[in-house]
Amino acid sequence: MGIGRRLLGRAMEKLESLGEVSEEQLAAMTPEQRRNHEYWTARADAARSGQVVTGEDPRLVGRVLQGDAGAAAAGIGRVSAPEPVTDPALRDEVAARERAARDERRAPFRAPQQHPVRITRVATRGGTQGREIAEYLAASGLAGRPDLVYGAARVPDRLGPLRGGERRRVVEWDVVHAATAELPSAPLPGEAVLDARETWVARAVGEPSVLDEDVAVAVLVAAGIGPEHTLGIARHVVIDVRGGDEHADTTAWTEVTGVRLLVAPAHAAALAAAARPAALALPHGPPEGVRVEVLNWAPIARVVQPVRTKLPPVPSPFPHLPLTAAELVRAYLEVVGVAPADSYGVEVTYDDPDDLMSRTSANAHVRKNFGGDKLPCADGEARARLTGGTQVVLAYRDRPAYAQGRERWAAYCAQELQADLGRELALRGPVPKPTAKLLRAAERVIDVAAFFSDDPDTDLSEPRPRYCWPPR
Amino acid sequence: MSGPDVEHGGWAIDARGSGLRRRRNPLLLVLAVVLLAGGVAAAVLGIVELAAGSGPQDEDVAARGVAAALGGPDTPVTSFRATDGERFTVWLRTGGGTTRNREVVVASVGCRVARPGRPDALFRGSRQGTAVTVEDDATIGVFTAGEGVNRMVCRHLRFGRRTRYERLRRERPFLVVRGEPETRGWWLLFGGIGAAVVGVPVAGVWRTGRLRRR
Repeated sequence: MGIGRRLLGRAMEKLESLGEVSEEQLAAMTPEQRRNHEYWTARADAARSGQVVTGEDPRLVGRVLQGDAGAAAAGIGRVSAPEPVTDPALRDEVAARERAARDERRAPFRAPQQHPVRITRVATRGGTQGREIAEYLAASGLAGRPDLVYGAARVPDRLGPLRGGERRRVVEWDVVHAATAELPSAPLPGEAVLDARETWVARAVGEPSVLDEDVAVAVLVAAGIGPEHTLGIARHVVIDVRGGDEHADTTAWTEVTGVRLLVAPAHAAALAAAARPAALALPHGPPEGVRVEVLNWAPIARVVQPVRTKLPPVPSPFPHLPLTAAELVRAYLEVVGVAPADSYGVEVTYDDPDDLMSRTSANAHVRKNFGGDKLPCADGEARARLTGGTQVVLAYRDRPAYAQGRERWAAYCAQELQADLGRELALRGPVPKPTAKLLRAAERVIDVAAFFSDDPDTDLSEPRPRYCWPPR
Repeated sequence: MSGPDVEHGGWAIDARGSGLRRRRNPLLLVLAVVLLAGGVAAAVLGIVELAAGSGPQDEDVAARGVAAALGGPDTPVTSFRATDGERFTVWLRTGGGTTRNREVVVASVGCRVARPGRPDALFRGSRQGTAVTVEDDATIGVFTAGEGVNRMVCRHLRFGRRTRYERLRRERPFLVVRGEPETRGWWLLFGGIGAAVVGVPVAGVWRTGRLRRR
């Protein structure tokens, strides 16, 4: 056989194999990528065999929101949003009516065994927030009854005035609990902060990274502390407002720098002993018997509150969707029926860095650090607010009843919310390969330049996976 | 955004039974109030003083004269009586024009003062460090007079490019005014602004306070 024919044969083989995906490539895909791949493979097969393809809109495949809200989020078609009500009293009335309708539709999905869900929001100062929330848990008596606490975490909003760090600013915390009566004061809870830059878990390049809650629960398990003795797992979120001069636009980047663990006072010593950076033996995912549920809140927030500095428009353009992340938290707890004694933590938070100056105007290309509504804060004072949070994270001890609850939740999401909140999350992504020494040195130079120039755009380094860097 | 799901619980450390309290230093509050109120008051006073009295005042004018034109004939000598060590400021009536033109005119004027019991004083508008300009009047310089009758002459001299000389070929009146130009107003204005700027973070530190055990 001539060389020309051989080359031609190889080229044809290569062309034929272009559309095929190897087993390794499939294994490396995220659930969303795999779903997309399966959908389009099936669709292509059907088209080849001459079948008419119907069903899901191909433009919404793999997306969180389906239906009208999904179409609006994907920019397909026009949204016929009703004119928002501006009168505060009427607004409250319409919002309450919409909320009642949502609660009514959720009722059939609620767990048979219900636990009270109360969300108490308190104000702290950024520089002393850990100490203040510990004090609140002690004074309110919740520290003495961790079996009544679902979780405690910082509210992911940035409160005005919108410049600088948060050391002196008001930072709110939400305590989600089931206490219906006043409790006697308790001693201060035990607490530990796990620094995300430390290597807590040994991971090789390409292995799944870890969630903050995976590591936090692993530490609690190592300390022998169960969820009935845990007050909360809270990602430590920093929101830094920079720029806003003639050199750079205003940015308000969020960053998760670690995770704070709060436990009953009696377990403070055990927690302190366990919370030391070490190569934790952590499987891929949370420790066995623990469920870490991550709900993608960002797509809902984008459609129900298009401008984060203003109240969500009412009537809502999509009244079937929850109006706040707190409502989603309550919905999940009620539908799955999680008991506070089984809960390690509940929080509305962030994963990857997010710029809160996005969605500050109805025009996607315009950013505004003025003109927003002043909204009441936990201390009763009204302040400018950049409403944030991209995920709702719940960590709890799993039980068979909760598996059934999650089936109800999936049905509720599909039928009522027309959404799959587990999509587009890219959780526990593979640990990347460290950059070469030369590049690392260049990155460091850029970091130093960014520090001195105070220009957020100069920071070009990729975010590294938390708790498992560098890889082994 | 909170909505109906969230109960507002006030400050975390204000909870019933809390062992912490936020202690605010009253001295910091006093300091902040003094800096802010004092700073604003000083700045306002400075502006008022600058507006009211920074130019030459008629009652302080000791003599009037005319600065000779560039290349033109001498003008009459201006005489005035003074006590030894008395300070005087020479103000030129520039006659308006653009800022640049005024600057050139002021810089070009040179004066000579024959002082009894002291050597002659020579000064130029271009060598005075900072020229004070109020409307069309600008300072040429400040000098110390001698005891008795002091005599002085001023004239436009060559300054800058030749193309500008035409502007200097004109006689312009000047005033000999007792005292130095008003600078207190500027000190009050900038000092006041500085104090108010410092007062804001001091107020912030007071407001944040420090956590203390009850």
